[in-house]
Amino acid sequence: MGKSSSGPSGGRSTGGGGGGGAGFPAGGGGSTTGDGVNGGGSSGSGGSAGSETVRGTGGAGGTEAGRGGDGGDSSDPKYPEAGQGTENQGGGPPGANGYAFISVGGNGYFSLQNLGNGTVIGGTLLNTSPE
Amino acid sequence: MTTPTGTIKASDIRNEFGASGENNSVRLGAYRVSWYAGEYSQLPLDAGVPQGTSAISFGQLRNKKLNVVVDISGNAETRVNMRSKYDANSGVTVVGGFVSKPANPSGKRILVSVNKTIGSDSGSINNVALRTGTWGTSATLEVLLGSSAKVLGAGGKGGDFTATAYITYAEDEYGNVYENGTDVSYDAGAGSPGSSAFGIDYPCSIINYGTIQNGFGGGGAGGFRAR
Repeated sequence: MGKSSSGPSGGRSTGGGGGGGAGFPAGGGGSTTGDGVNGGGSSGSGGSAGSETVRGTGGAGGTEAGRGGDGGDSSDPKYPEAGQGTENQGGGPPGANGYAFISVGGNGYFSLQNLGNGTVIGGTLLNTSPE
Repeated sequence: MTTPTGTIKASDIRNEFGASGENNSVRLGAYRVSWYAGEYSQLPLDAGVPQGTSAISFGQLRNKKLNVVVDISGNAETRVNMRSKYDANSGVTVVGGFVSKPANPSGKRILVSVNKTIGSDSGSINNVALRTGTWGTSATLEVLLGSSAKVLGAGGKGGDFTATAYITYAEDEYGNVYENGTDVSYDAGAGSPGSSAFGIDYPCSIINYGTIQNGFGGGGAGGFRAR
């Protein structure tokens, strides 16, 4: 779970931290922190960490501030969410998903056969050296 | 090297698989093995070599390679390179057991058995949990992921929301700059990218009974609103 803070000066509210993405190790939740905090606004909360397969959820924003986006999740393997924006400042963009396969060669450099409960989640990036 | 496709001699078989009889001799019947290693079971000396009490001839050992199994199982770990496991002699078994592991795997058939959780590192989207590594020239690489195998990219961290106070300045009618207050800047940070699962540096075939899954990105931080 990311850290949270009290609201900054001027009665403004902080956005929530983003949720961590699923994976191993799982992504940590984003934090919401600030200097010059004088109160008056309301605090956002940190996002939660993901697990191997389940996304972390974004932290709630302070009053009328945006909520953090949820991390990516293997049970709904589309994309993680951007943070919710407000009229003053849009939310942050999500991080990109990784790939199931990165291959230094092109098509045909490997063959894959899923048997039993064999599962692949994610795409393939060809002609790229894995690191 | 692979045994010849044409005329084959006992020395060709011995050079590839090791001697199976006393005094460095070749006893064909002893090559009818049924080998167990990792998730592999009842492996023959190489594909198509007779097993058990089946008849065997010199001709059935033409165009065959030494088979070596690399067993990757046990406790979860991260950032595994198959070739590094081979070089470290970690979980390595030579099918038949007539010869020790060759230092150079070129020309051999490498069978990698994976049956545990392997994770990645979130530093780059190109970071992978499990990679083949390279195997020289003409080695054949086959990977078997068992039902307990999970090859997983790392998840990305969620975006941070940061508020930073700063001093504001103004200029008077004489051109003097003075502090006139404070304000706060806001940054709704991006989520970090997830990383990747399976890296292929060398041509291979994969049979998957487990899970191969990318790492997912972190969510972005929320925006702020002035009240």
